[in-house]
Amino acid sequence: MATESSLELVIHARIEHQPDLAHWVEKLAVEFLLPQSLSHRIDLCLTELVSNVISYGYPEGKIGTVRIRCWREPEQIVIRLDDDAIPFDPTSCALPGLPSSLDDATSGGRGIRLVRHFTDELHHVRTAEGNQLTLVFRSLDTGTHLSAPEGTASAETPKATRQPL
Amino acid sequence: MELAVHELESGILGINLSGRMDITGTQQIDLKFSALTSTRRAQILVDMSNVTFIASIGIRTLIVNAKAQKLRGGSMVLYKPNDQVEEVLRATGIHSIIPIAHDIDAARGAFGAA
Repeated sequence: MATESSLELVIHARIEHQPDLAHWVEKLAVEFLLPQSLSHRIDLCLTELVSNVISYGYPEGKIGTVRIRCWREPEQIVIRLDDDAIPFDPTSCALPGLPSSLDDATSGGRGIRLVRHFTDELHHVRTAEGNQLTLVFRSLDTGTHLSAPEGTASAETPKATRQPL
Repeated sequence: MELAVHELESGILGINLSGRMDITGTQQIDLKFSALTSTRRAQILVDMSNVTFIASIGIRTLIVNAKAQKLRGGSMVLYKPNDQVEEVLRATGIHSIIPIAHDIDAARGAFGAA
């Protein structure tokens, strides 16, 4: 959906390209006049999702490609990520509960929790090449995101085939 | 990222973090941070006021170091994160396992309670 009012970034799925992603979000914020709090939400979600693809999306030695497009609709910003990685659906994987003590704090699941928390909508489609994620962000005027943290008391077994961050 | 260390009042070690706590940023401070938290017992005040961004990898760094310090009988308090960084910490429940303080008296109280 590369139209005049959209921006696109294509990067190799390697850690050294993460700064390119952050710079692209800065450009996005200027192009679409986004409030700082909203550009922060976008930055965070893309950082987590692309980190996850880099860390878990490919067999060792394979360097994949992530294509990110963004466009503005009347009341929302839409971002679409296409990758050529192994299947992973962050909308359905179960997450561990919020930690009740320092000793109980596990290492996984926080990245996907943050993406769910800071997006207004999150959709996954399995494509012939890999995965397509669509992120929707609203609150364009205030940038305020007021939803409560998602969390349950009990740990659950992840259903995903790729380990979330 | 950058990490600077300074002694505060007796028994409190100040660790000032600045920059972006993403994969690249945490790689730049991880060794120095863990050397400080895993080699001696202290009350560690982690000044987050100049951290502009934190991702899950940065939260992991905070947890690993808080655990390391707890093992040595000390404790860690996060000091003055900006609103966006604090929202990320709260969304992942970190505020309930590593105290967050916005003034030095609250930090002292959090050390006392830890």
